[in-house]
Amino acid sequence: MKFLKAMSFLVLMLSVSAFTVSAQHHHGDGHDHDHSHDMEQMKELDSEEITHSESLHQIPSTWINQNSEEIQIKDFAGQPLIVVMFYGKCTETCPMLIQRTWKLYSSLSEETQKIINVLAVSFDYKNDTHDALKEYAEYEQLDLPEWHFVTAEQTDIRQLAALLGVKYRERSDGHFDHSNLITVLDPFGNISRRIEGIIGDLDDDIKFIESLVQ
Amino acid sequence: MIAILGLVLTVLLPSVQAQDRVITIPEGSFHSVLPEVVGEPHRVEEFRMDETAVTNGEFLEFLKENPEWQRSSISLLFAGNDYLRHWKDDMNPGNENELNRPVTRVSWFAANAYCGWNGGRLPSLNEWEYAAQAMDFDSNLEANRFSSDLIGWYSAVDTKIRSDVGSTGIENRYGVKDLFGLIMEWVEDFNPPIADELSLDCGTVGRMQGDATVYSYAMSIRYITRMSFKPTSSTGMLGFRCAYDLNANKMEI
Repeated sequence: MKFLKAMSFLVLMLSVSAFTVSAQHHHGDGHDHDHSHDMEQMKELDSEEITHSESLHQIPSTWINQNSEEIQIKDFAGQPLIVVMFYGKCTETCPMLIQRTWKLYSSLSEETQKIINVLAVSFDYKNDTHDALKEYAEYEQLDLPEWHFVTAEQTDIRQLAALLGVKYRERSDGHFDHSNLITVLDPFGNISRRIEGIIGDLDDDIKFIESLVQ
Repeated sequence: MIAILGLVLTVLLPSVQAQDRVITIPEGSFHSVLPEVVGEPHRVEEFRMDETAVTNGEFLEFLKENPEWQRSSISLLFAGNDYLRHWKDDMNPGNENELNRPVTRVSWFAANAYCGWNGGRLPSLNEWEYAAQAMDFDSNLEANRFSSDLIGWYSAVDTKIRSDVGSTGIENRYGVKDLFGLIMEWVEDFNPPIADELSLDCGTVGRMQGDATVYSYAMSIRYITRMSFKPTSSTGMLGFRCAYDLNANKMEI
């Protein structure tokens, strides 16, 4: 199906450039139509296609990690990215969710671990400052170069949650009700796997991530 | 000449200022219809909220500064094909009359981005509902009449909005206008975690009405309608207003 779509797109493009050629001939400028120009046009159309895709690399938000570094999701383009949403104060399911993310990450081959990053986004923009996130990362023994515990503006956090399909809600006691979800983005930023819950084996997920890297 | 200009200004200015008003809602609590909280009132901290919904005119200003949210530029990630479909083009809501009408056919993503740009955020579901319950009535009779009008309105929300913001005459006790009677409004967490277990069926609606207040039925309809939205949904009856933390400042448009 995808192949068919791509084919018809190509045919469409070819007919568009054919039209351009004949239009120019009508103008009678006498110049031979430059073939490389066609190729350029094709490239432009291609990139247009990508801008309108569902890649999360389009998210313009800037995130601050536990080392006070600014990060954008598109910084991770070219490799898969593991995304998880949590909050630091959580003593119930979050440690399990973060531990599960660790289990997933640490089960990957050493080569894969070197190139894949983990983005752990806190819901709790009020309490999880970059300093608090640093403490959290150290406490969980996950203050690693590939692990980014991040915060951002409230509207940016909500936007990412809506894109991932993570539901959360702050309770009056300052804790959050939230979905337990690990999301894998492919090298193009598309959501390619959603791992729900905090129990269950991860073998298929690990194989899947390895297949994205190759 | 100056006199005429002065007259024009006095006529125009009050309506513009009215849209820019932000109202402080004092802390308090309210009863939600969600079954998660039987009997327990929800506490809501003091916050601030727009007096009226965001208008086409205000949204146009946002689009001028943030062209990536214009109809022809917006990513499919953030809105479906219905986004601002009723506007003539990217920067034209139709005619002058549209400028003071609430903007609709905006996705949750666009509403969220607008409020962030404006120095605020979308109101949380609890904040919105708390503000909506802060209505005073002279008698039970009046309250019941309002309640049944409300249900009538919800069952026939028009997708073509032909009224200005602030025109419904419905106002809560703090002066927030049109929480009902004009449009449905996006909230920050329109689809709370509990939504997975709920659906629009009589049993659920029945269960949600544990606390029989004037609004509980209308409220159930709102909750369930909201839960059916996707964040990319853009429908003709759905607009928004922004909320602000106490230390945040609304930008002057």
